[in-house]
Amino acid sequence: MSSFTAQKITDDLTAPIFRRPSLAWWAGFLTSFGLMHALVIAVAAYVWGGYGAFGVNSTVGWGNDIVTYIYWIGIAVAGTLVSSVLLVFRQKWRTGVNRATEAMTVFAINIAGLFPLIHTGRPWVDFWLMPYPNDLALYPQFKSPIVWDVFAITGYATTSVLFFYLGLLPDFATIRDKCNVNAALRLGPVTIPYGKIQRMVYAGLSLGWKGTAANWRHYERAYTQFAWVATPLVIGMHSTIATLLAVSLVPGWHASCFPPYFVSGAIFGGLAMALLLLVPLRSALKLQEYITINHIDGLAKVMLGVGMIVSYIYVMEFYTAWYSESPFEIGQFFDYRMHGGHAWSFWLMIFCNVVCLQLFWVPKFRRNLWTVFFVAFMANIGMWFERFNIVVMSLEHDHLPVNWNHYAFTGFDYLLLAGSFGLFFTQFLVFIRVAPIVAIAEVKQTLLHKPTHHA
Amino acid sequence: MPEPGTIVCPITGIDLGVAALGRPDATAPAGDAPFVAGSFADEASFVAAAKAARAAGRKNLQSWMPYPVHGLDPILGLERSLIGRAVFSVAVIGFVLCFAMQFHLMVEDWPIIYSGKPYATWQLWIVPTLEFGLLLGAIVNLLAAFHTCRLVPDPFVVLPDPRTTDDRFCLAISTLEAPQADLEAWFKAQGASEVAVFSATKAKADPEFLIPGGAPAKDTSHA
Repeated sequence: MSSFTAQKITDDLTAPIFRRPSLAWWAGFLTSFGLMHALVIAVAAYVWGGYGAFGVNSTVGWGNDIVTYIYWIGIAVAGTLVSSVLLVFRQKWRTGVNRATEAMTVFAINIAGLFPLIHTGRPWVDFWLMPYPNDLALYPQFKSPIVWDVFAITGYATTSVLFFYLGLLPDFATIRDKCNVNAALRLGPVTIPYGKIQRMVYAGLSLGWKGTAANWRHYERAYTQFAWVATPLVIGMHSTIATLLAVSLVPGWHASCFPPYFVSGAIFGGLAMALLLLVPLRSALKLQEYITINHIDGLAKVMLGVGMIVSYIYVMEFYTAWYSESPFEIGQFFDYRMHGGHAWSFWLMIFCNVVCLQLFWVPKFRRNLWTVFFVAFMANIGMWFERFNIVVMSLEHDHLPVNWNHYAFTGFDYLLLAGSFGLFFTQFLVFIRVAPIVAIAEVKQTLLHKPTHHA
Repeated sequence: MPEPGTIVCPITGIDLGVAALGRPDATAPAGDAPFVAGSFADEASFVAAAKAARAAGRKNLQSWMPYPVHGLDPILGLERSLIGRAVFSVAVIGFVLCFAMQFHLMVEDWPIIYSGKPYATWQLWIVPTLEFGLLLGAIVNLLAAFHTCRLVPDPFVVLPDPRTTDDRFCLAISTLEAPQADLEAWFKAQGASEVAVFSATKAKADPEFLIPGGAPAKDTSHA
């Protein structure tokens, strides 16, 4: 710890912004950017030709868009856990990873927000979701969790973005004051004063931040309050999504354990995504001193904890189905999930989320970057398939055998899913070029500040 | 109580700063009076200097730092931030508004029977009510932070030492408090690595007068 100075922290954490992008960054960015266009193609096909572009049918009306929506919401939830909940509980180790997870939250939530809008089938009248009477003079139904979800997502997305921006303010000011205003790019007869432009941009973004004692006093208060606001919002948001399913009578959905199931599953999947990002990032940006192996270990432990809760709920779903003596519930779990047409996705989920996770009981594996990356990667796959199991398999096999139907992806479904990952990684890769991926002021405070007691 | 002639935000009690110029304040150097700024390389000597300044009865103090130094507020005489009151007030207003809106739409304006449920199902309105109130609270939280920190897009902002967003701690005392030479000597005695005069008027005429490497200064009365 003693080797850290404020200047070293600033230099280390702002270095990725001031140096030229590496070949690896360009490769990642161009791949993601290209992949993002898959999303554009899928959405264009759907707007042009209607909802038939996707694989949904009269039985499985909620397909890829809802599965992927819940997946990205889950990614966002874990970001808030690290940034807000750990702040509320005064966990200082969060400072190494909170900026990356907050960024992950903001980028995941804006992708998630796209999917319900796509899912409505007529996105040009999505404004009817607001408390605004539609053509039939009807208001949204406030008794419905679907409307609750609109409020939840709007509130959570807005709060996440504001929280994220407030956290970035002092760091933008640091970058502003580090800009070399004499830097210029000569292109033949034209000279572009990009140093001055860069400083102007960061000065604008930092809103004239000065870092006076009065500034910090209000800033810290506001920052902590954001954490207190975001914590109930995030739990409420994902519980609302769970309620949306649980209040229906569909076998496989109608379970009171859904809200905690969804929240813990979301934290599990989101932490997996955080590890998936942080493990390569700390090496690529040379941030091993700031995102230490202890941070990775800490995240892996939390992931193990919530992962075991998720595993327990997997078992409880089967137990509840058996104990209910409902032939529909028993048929859904013991017959269809284990042996049905998509049983492979159920067993893949179990392998990825339950079996692979057990590696984290061994401290050596939690501190080995390869095994951490492997478990995180598998958990990401597993969590997408968990939502596929819940949403699609439940609908495929409901109360009436005459309704039973098989759901299959179309090409546009694959493009939609792949494009969402492209959009996410594009945003993330751009972000690491324009802002510090580790919160500079917070890390300085954690590593250097010695509490002063007023006599 | 606010001083006569000042305008105070009715919700937060924050002085809007309209009449702050020239008014002695515990946190803001007054008007165009120059002040002496000492730059410190480490937190401990900076805090010790702030303590010594307050012990000597200095009131027109200002300080800049790269990260929040806990325990400094009482030394500088800063009170607890009041923006929590603004957020709480607006969140409560949001709760009431959203609940009232749902009651009006679902019971008064266009009541519809859904599955035999009563019109006024208040239990089912709790989620939007909470979400909307918290959303308003979050928005006001950010606006209140901007308001209290006087944050507006300012591409020309300058600091007594631009390294205060990096690794320096800066303390400034108004020359209303003591002669300039005395303050410079005092800062040196406190262990300041660099000392400079910080004046809005002079900065406009001479951009190079500040701490070496620093940018031109401007009036920071409202910092």
